[in-house]
Amino acid sequence: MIDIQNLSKVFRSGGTTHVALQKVNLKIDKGEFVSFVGPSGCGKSTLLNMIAGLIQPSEGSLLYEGEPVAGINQKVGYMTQKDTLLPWRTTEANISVPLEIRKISNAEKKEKVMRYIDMVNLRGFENHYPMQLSGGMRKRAALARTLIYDPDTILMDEPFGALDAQLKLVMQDELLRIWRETQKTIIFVTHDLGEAINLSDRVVVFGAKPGRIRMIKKIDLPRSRDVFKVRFHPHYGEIYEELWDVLEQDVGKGEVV
Amino acid sequence: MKNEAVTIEELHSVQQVKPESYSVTKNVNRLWMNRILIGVVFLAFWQFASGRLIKPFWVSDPYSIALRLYEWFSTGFIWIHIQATLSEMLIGLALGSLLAVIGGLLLGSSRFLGDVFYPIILGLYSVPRIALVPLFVVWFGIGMASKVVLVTVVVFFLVFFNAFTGVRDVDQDLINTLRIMGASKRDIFLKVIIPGASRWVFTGLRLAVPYSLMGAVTGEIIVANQGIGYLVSWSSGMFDSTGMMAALFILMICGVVADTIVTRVESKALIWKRNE
Repeated sequence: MIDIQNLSKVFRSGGTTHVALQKVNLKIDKGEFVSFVGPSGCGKSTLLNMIAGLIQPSEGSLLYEGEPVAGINQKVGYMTQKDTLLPWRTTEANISVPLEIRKISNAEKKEKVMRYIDMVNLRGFENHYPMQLSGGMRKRAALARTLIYDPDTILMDEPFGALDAQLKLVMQDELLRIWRETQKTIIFVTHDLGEAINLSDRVVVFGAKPGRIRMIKKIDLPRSRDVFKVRFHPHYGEIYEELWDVLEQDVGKGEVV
Repeated sequence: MKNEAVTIEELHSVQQVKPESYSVTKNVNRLWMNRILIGVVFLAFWQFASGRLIKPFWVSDPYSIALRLYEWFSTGFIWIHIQATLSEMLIGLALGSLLAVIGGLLLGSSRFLGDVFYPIILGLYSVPRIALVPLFVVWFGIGMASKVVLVTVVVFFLVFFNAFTGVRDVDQDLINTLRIMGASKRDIFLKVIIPGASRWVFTGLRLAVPYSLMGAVTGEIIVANQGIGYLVSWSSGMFDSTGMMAALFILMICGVVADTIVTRVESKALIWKRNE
């Protein structure tokens, strides 16, 4: 579904060049949940931006369903770390943006928006503006807005990074439920190794300077997982340790993990 | 015992809700009482001082001013002047902000047009607007047209730079998010750039309203044959301080009304900003 071969990205500014990603090889299957972890500056967000088509590779190829990604990739939905709800629109109006773009009729739009508002548990907050919502609610609204136009793949760049630990688990739980229901492909960038293990089929560990893949680890914890309890699974500790050993080599090389 | 104490406290806190909202309206009333009181004291002192501490020639007195205002309104003499000033102000405001918003959106969203025209507009901006009045009088005569043009120019610069900055300031992440959703350029313009720039435009308009009145009146004072500014300058020529004060009073009312309208409209249009 997504096929990345020998992909490199070099940023040049003035006389200096910065290798953001070097010879990345990765295949992601349809319906898979894959997480990218690694220190800041390891190129994981850069790779996400390339899959979204926001930036172009310097070398190598990036195929999405067999087609090279040239320009904005409209088959994906993208949830960034910063929430990108339109501040002048209510929750309901924000979630309906993709439908407006697709010129869906008003009746259908209303019905669908309400269904997704229910899906992300935002009933009662339809007429609130983003400023009036909590961080977690804004994330839910952004998620509903991403899901509503039914992209095959959802890219998430540290979507829960700014939330407190408990809320993070709640959001992970909801994300897994929605993933099961919708069977999307999800690529999830995070700083948080525990979060990556909780959620993913595979975890891709990135190293910094230059950004590259250090390890791809299949997480063979049983589905469906309970994010509140999965860390007590007998294999969890092993998996965490194995990944941490790899991740640790780069800690301090970038900024912070 | 302890539990009971908590309950009693809670009861108190519940009971306090009502008196509190009560005292808010009470406070507002008191505020207005104070304001009116200060106004009355000021006017009374003015009336007392005029003719006793200072010659009425300089400051007139509230009674004469009120009488003059009554005379102006009852004979209908004033309407043509109010109408002139307000028309200049409103037409100039509409034209100026329309041109500014169009210009700001255009130059803001096109890198090329912006690079070409922005320095030119900045250069024009550095000319003091009042210095243009003689030119406008030569071009458009001493009637309303020259003041309308002056107000248009004053308003244009105030709103243009805000509209321009507003467009340039729009969050690229919002644009990218919509592009990934499949938005066309038109969608992005209508759904992101225009609403995003609108709060900047409002800031500019907010400033532009008092300046438009100032522009109209300034123009009238320099040269005109009607308008409230003309009344001020004409009364001045007659050494008629009562006339000047009465005209200034009308200007004050016009300013306050205009400002109130803008505040109302702004709080409606920018409702999403309220909780920021």
